Amino acid sequence: MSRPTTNSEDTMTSTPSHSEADVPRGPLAGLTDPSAYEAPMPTERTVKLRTNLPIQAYRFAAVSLKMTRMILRSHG
Amino acid sequence: MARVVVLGAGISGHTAALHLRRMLDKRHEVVVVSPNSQWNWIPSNIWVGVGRMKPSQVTFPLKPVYDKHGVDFRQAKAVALHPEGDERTAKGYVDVVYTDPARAGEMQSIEYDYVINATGPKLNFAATPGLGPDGHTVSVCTYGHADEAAKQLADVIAKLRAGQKQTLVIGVGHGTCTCEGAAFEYTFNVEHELRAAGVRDLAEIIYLTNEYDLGDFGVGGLTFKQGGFVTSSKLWTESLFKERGVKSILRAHVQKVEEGRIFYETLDGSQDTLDFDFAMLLPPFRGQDLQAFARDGSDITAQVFAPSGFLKVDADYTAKPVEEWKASDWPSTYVSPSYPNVFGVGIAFAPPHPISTPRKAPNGTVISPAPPRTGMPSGLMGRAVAMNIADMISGKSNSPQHHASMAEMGAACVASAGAGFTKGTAASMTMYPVVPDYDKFPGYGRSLTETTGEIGLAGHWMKHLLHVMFIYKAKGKLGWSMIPE
Repeated sequence: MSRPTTNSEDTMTSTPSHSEADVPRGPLAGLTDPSAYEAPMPTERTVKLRTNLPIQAYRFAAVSLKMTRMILRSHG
Repeated sequence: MARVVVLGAGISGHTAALHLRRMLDKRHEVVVVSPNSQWNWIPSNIWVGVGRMKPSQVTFPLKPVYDKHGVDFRQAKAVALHPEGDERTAKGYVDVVYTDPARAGEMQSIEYDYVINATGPKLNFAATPGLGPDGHTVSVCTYGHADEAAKQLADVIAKLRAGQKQTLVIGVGHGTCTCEGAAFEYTFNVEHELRAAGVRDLAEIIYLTNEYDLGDFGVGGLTFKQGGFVTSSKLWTESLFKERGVKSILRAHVQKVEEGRIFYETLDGSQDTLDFDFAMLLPPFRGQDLQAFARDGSDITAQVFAPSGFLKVDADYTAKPVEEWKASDWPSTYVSPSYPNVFGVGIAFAPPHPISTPRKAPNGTVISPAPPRTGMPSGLMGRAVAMNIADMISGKSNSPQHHASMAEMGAACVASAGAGFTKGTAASMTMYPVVPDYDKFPGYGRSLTETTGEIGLAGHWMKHLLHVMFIYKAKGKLGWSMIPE
């Protein structure tokens, strides 16, 4: 099928080719349920620490330092 | 006396204009041409889009700031560039059409000694039929769009409270979109708001993206050290999706949107439809509709601009496979190769290639993110170009000596995952450099020391602090130039 170009960010797009009749039913194409990821699930403690005020005050200082270092480096 | 014309007043253009005015003496003119009367701190549009902020909290009028600093502001849209002048003048000039209600439609030609194209993106909703506020989805690209998104989200929450199940789709509306970070932020801010409203159980949230993996963010993902391991933004992001129960559709290109239904295809060639009650899909970007003409009036748009509408600058645009990409492909002075007094910064410059690996579906559809070039990199480009122009005007140099390559600068990114001074969270990320350099950093392309990421309330405070700081800076208040870009 020939595909028309668009001017968006230098690339090509497709012409919709669906009709109600040819749309497959069943699980959606590419849909991933979050439970399928193999990434580790944070523990309840980890999640709580993310909003723990003293811990986060400390992390704020640490993140500020990291960002300041990055900013200074990038400003030459 | 020299005149510098800055086209656009977003992060890059506004930064350049204020620095130019600070560095040049008053004999020289700085003219800003922007179709918008308001400056918008776009990163906080996410919070407007969930109703946490009003548009007035993320905007301010430009004219009083420019009046105070002695910048000549013209509320108008640039439509044509004449870098060689014409038979009437040897100076380059730009044609503008006023959008200022008092002069709406009036055309004017503005001569320049130097011009900076900082016109940002044209939001190309038209690339996907049915996409956008004039179609069937909402957006958070502008404060007006975000305000409308908040209203529609409030309707969804009301239906959820009435016991109706709702499907919310958030992501990108085309296979070549950029700004996946903004879609990520909006996804988790919406999730946070639904949880806060006590209606999360009835809502299905689906993140629809052109990224190959979660955590790509258009920069090919990040690698950093955490807990004694070298880990990836993919694993980190998947963990967040798992924790917050958000489904995803990766590697997708949206073909069209109808009322309540998205038609899409994926990289493996599958095609499907997705029904929704609420959809926030970002549009792809292209350059603004700016044409260029030679002295004899012939159209040189294709020489000056890339096919995407972005200005060609000092990048290496030679088509090459991803294995041959180099950090040195990326521009550093943002000067046009054809005209030494024409510059392009921020989203308006044409990148040499993506940062994420480009991919195509079996039918040829490109499904991979375009490179982001907003925020801190945008500001740094604007500042470097302003310094170069100031040096050339004052005679300190004959050519640009200040550099701001995305392959030699880092970026600090804070992606909100929910607002609130005690319950909010955000992902705080730093990366160095933005464009991976595998010669300098073999293995991962970026410094493992300078590339970091963590999630927590501290990130939310940081994002709020940046909101306050950058609006203060953009207003040109006392000490503004001491605040880094």
